[in-house]
Amino acid sequence: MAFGVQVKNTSGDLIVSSDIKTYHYVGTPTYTGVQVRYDNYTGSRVYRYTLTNSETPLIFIKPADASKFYAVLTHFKSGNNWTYDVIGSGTTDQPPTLYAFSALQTTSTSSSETYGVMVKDSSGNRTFDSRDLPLAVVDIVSAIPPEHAPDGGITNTSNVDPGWNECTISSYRSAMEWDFTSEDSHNDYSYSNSGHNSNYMFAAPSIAQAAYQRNAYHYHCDGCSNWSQADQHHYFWGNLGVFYRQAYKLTSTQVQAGWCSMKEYWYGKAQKTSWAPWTSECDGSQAFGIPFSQKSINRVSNSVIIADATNYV
Amino acid sequence: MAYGFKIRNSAGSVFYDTSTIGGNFLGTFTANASSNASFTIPHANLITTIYTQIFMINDLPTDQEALAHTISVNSGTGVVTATAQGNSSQSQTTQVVIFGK
Repeated sequence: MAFGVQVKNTSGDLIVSSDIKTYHYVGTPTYTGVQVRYDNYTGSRVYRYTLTNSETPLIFIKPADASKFYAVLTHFKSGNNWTYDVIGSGTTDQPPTLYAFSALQTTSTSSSETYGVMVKDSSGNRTFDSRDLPLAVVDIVSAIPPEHAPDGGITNTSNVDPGWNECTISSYRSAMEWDFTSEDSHNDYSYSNSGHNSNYMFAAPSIAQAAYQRNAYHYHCDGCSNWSQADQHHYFWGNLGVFYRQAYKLTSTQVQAGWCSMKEYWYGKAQKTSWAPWTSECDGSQAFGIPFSQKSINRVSNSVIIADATNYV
Repeated sequence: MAYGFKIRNSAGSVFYDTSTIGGNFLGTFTANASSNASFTIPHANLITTIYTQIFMINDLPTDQEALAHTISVNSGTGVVTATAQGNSSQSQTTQVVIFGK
């Protein structure tokens, strides 16, 4: 460094530099409504937000309920327009507040304040400007969710026999149930929380997915052992699956890396056949459709950034 | 605070000082589906710890086995590498955001 500014914190880490841009607050994405409601097991909501920004923003979530898991689920980008889907656990609508940060974009500021600290690089572009609210990070932890999302652990995929329930497809489901809830499946990480308050927020996208299923099969025959009675064969085939996405809970002492159940897959087909030329069958759905099962994917350690939203309210 | 650096907002409250962890933006890059990609961080020598976050863009994640790239960081050279996973129907475009302190 032949010229310029470097300020380091008490741990020797860089906090202001004329060479490296600092993330600055760019706004609060606009909440537009609930996209998906899933009310089985732990349940979840998918909330949608929009933001216009020319840079790739870093999105923070300030939880609406500290007992719920949240994560940015999906980023849609069209030009400078960003759409974010954020998942939250639970069966009530509790959209969190989002805060967006990105590197400084221009040489001017929207602030009318004429005081503060501004640092520019050798090209005259701002790298730090206190008027535009630089991101002050409380802590960064590396977190990964447990391998298996269901609180009941990895599901047993051996066929269960749900009995014969005629064409009442929903009656077959109870025998296939599992503890598919997910609020207790999480890994916990402590963070520097000496100044914790209800405005703490975190940035961590949901990248891991998981899917688990249960299978069912039933067969019995009426009349097969009675020569005087026509044979009637009764079949049922069924699958029940639940899909999860990685999510995080921010408590006053911990980051909890866990899962949100967000969708389920169900297939059920009952069939009755006889030697006579007739067959009756009934379907609960057209296809099972689960994209994979019995595993989690994209499960890697992700950086969870924790900050205090008080500075940006 | 006997020494150091402190910035107050217009209300007089300190919001940035030498106990803060700075949010240093080091770069972002897109790794296309089925392709590897890398990015060299400028001024990596100024950073003590490099962090990454990854996410998929425009992905519809509930109807396919969608695999993101895996990320490796060489803190010595400041090179961040994204390696595609799975086959062509599984691999997804991954956005990599790099920051550090």
